[in-house]
Amino acid sequence: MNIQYKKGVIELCILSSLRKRDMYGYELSEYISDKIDISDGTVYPILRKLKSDGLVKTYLSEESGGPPRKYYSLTQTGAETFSRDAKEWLSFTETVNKMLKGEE
Amino acid sequence: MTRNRFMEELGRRLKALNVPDAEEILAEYEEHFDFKLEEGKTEEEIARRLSSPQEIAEEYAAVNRPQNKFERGAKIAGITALSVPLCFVYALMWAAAIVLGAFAACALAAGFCLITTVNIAELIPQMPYLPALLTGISCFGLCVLSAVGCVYAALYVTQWGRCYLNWCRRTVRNSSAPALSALPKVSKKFAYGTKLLAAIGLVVFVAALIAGYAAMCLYAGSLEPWHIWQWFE
Repeated sequence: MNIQYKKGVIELCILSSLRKRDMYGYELSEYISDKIDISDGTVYPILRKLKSDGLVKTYLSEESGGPPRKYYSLTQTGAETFSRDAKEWLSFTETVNKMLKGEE
Repeated sequence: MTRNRFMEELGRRLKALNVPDAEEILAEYEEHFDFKLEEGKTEEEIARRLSSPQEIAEEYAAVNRPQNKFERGAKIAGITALSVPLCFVYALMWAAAIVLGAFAACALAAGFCLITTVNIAELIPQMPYLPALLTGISCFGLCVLSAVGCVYAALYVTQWGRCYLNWCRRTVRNSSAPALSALPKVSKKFAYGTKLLAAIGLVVFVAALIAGYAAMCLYAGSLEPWHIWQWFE
């Protein structure tokens, strides 16, 4: 599938994953590329964009026997944006699916 | 490409494109290499699975639409100048919310005094107990109504503050993120509960006030009971 299609969706997938729990960059990257076929590291610039837009924030957390890891967590704005965009996405894809199947 | 070559190249490209916080970005990719090496991949393999340093740097450069230092400085100066008077307006908005809260507290105290006939410093004029009870109940209605008003005023003022800060941030960073909604987000349950509470408060306030006034008139035998009871003498 076209990479530009995927990028917008990946933003939504990242927000959705972070709604469940905070994750560090690599963890998120693997979690998403497990499910969606993208090249490694695609999520890092997207995480950067989400942070710059104020939808996610980062904090450092000490791990036992390793360097501190940078964790990503959802901001309130991020949570609000997610619930709005997810709703839009669901109704959008529903329409597109119907069109592609020739129902409309 | 080896890890060192990849990181060097990425650092160079990020610098060439003027991407801010390059160290933080590089740290993210170093971490990526660390994890993948732990999983037993080779440096070459890991680098091949990533996009090229040039592409990665371009992705980061595209996060914020480019703007020069002068543009950014002008925006910061403009927003600072705008924020000073707005701070006063914002403080006034909060003051209004606080006044509403204080009003609710006063109504509660007045209602309590009327019903329990605790008359502090003779502030409450003389009247028989039935009208005092009814006006006391109406004070409770007024208290609930203004308390709900106070909570909503606080929610709106908070949300407007957040909207403004978010707008400042998006403007300075040249971000394309969508604007925040000016309406505070409350759950359906909360909105329903507070609406019901406000409606009950309003009905109790109006009904008890009318009933209390009617009772006063009956006791005093006049439509202007304050003359009979000499409240303002």
